Amino acid sequence: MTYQVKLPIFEGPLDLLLHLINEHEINIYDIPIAFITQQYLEYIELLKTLNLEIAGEFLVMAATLIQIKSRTLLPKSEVAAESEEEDEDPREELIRKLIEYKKYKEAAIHLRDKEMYQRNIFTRMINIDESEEVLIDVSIFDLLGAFKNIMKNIESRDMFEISMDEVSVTEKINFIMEILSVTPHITFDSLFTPSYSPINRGKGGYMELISTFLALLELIRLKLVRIQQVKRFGTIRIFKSVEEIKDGSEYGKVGN
Amino acid sequence: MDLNTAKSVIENILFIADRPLSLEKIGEVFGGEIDRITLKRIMDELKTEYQDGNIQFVEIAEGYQLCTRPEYSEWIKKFYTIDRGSRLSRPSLETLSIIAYRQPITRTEIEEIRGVDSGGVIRTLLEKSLIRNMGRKKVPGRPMMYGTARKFLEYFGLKNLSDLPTLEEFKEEDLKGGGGIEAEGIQDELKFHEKVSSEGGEFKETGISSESDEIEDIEGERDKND
Repeated sequence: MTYQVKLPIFEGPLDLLLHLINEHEINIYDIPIAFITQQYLEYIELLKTLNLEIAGEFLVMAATLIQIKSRTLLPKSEVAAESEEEDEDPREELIRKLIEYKKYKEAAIHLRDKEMYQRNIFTRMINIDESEEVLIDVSIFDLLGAFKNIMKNIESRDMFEISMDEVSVTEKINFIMEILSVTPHITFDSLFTPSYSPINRGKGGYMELISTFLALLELIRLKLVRIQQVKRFGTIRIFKSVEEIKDGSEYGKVGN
Repeated sequence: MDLNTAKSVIENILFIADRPLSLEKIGEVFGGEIDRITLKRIMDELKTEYQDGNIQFVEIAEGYQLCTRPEYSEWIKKFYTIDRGSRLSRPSLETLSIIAYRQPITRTEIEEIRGVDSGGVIRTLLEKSLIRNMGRKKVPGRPMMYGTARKFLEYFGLKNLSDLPTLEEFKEEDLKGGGGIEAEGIQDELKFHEKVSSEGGEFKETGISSESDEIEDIEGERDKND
């Protein structure tokens, strides 16, 4: 089973639970678990009949609710005898989560108000930004074209390739990301100027240029950079799109 | 230096500033000739002077800035086509508030609170520069930690992080039958349309921007499913 589409109305299972609690005017500190589980499952059922796909988190919550319900049904003494921690209300964990989530939801509403207010206030920055500088995405053909130009310029400089130092694409990937971690963007051209290449200091051989270009393509594929320009045939700039999103995964490891 | 001159200098500098200027930054122009306390006093004076002015003098993002008054926004928008981008989606706001109050915080910790996958939302917030990386947490896997960026303060018009109400303040609000929380988005929209229609529907672009918010929602989800 692959669930991928999220519910349009409810953010997640906690959101749905809060809705049910509000709807039935339930005291959040004393949730009638059998009732709420039934309501919750009915809701999931309804979504199924409507043929909406249900995200996995909703099913996990359904299972949790049923588990809590069955634990409340078990005779207390027996449970306590089996394990020591069982003195507490099985609902406690869920209630704590709901209350915490609710606080942030309210904080979010506060931010929404602030946002709405602030949207009607203008500063000079916005008026200046408002100039025609709309960035457009650069197509792969534009990139290839720009790279071709660079290669052409190199040719006309009568360069001889002697050095056999191998510059791996991975090294170049790391190198580009390193630059982008200190500056918001770099121009395409500067990436291929010798001063930017610490490895082949000043030599800038073909292999290195190609490695750099391949590294750039790889970074685009991995969506780690964005390539944009102000207008067609304008200066091409490379922006870092985001930091590594997946915890622990590093760009260096990917390009190998 | 004569303090009145200093005040005029500051006012002029702020007039052309394109972002909030901190007290330290403003002080640089006088080469340390005017101490912080005096500077602060001048700022307070300016603030009072602008109180009834047609332009606002605001304390924002740990600095000072001149900006327009909200009551003239429709006129400004009538004259300039200003693209403010779409409003933040509900998941974005929710995630932002968690990050704001709990920073530095990892993605897993955020997801624990929200109960849903938050990778796509975090990515959007990073792209909008509302949050920033705050290094890696020293636990197995060394996950990335996130915190709010300066732009967060600017975007929401906050002086600093302590300008936010404390979480306890939200706690005090009745937790039973709070009502309207889940309908927040819809009410928001309603308020919005009321507002637009009460203005005789003259400024249609506001209506459009609320639609583009929807689009952002969908995109956020697509991100998530990548």
